[in-house]
Amino acid sequence: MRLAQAPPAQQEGFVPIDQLPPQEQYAAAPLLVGAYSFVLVMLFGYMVSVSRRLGTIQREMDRLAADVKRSGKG
Amino acid sequence: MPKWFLPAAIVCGLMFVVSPFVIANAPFDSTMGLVYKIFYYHMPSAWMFLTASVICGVASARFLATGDARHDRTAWAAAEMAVLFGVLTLVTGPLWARKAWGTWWVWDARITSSLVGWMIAWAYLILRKYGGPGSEKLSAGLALFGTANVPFIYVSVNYWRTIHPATTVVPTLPFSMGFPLLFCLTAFTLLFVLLIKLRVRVAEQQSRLDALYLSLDDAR
Repeated sequence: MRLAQAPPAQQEGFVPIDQLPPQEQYAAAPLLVGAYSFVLVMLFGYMVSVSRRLGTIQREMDRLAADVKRSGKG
Repeated sequence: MPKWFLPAAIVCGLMFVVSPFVIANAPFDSTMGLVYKIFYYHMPSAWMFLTASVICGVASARFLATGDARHDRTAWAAAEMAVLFGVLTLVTGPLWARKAWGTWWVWDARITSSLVGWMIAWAYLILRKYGGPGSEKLSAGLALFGTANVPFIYVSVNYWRTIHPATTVVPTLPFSMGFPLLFCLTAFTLLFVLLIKLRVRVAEQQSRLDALYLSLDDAR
C-alpha cells in the first residue's frame, strides 16, 4: 500500500550549518547554477534591449535634425 | 543622463561580479542545504517585482489624477521592471522549490497571487503596445489592480496555510546569512534604479521624437 507523503511544514526561519550532508552536494548544484545563470542572462539581455532602443531613438533624432537643417538651407 | 548614473552603474556591476563570492561564503541551511542559496537572488528579485508594481500603480494614479505625461512614462517603465523581475522571481522560485519541496509549482496563496500580479504587469505592456489611442489611461487603471495585489502577496504567507517560507524568515536571519542577503538586495536595488532611469529616458526621448515629427508636419 502506497502512503501519501505529507508536504513539508512551513519554515519559520533558516538555521545555518557549516557542512553539507554528502547526498546534498550534487543534486542541488544544477538548479542553483541554472537559477543564477537565468537571472544574469535576463538582466543582461534587458540592459542590451533598452540600450538598443535608446540608440535607435537617438539616431532617428540625429537624422531628423540633419534633415531639418538641410531643408532649412535649401 | 545624470552625472551619478555612470559611477552607480560601475558600482552595481562590481557588486554583481562580487556577489557569487559573497554567497559562496554564506553558510548552508540545515533543512535545504545548498539549494537554499537561490534565496540570495530570488528574494531581491521578488522585492524589486513588488516595488515595481507599487511604483507602476502610484505613478498611474498620479497620471490619471493630473494627466502629466511624466507619471505615465514612469508607470510604463515600472511595468517593464515588474515583468522583468517578476519572471526572475517566478523562475528562480520553482528551481528552488523542485529541490526543497519536491515539486516545481504549488498553487498556494503567495505563489498564485504573484503569478496574477505578474500577468497584470504583462497585460499593461500588451495594452500599451496594441491598445492604440487612449491605452495609456486604460493601462493606468489596470495598474491600480496590480498595486492592490501587492499587500496581498506579502501577507498571504501569514494568513493562509502555505508551503512558502513565512515573513519571519528575513528578520530572524543570523548575520552570516543576513549580510549576503543585504549585499544582494543593495545590488538589485541599485540595478533597479538604474534600469528604471534608463527606461524612462527611452520614453522621454521617444516623446521628444514624436513631438518633433508633429511640429514638422504642422510646419508643412
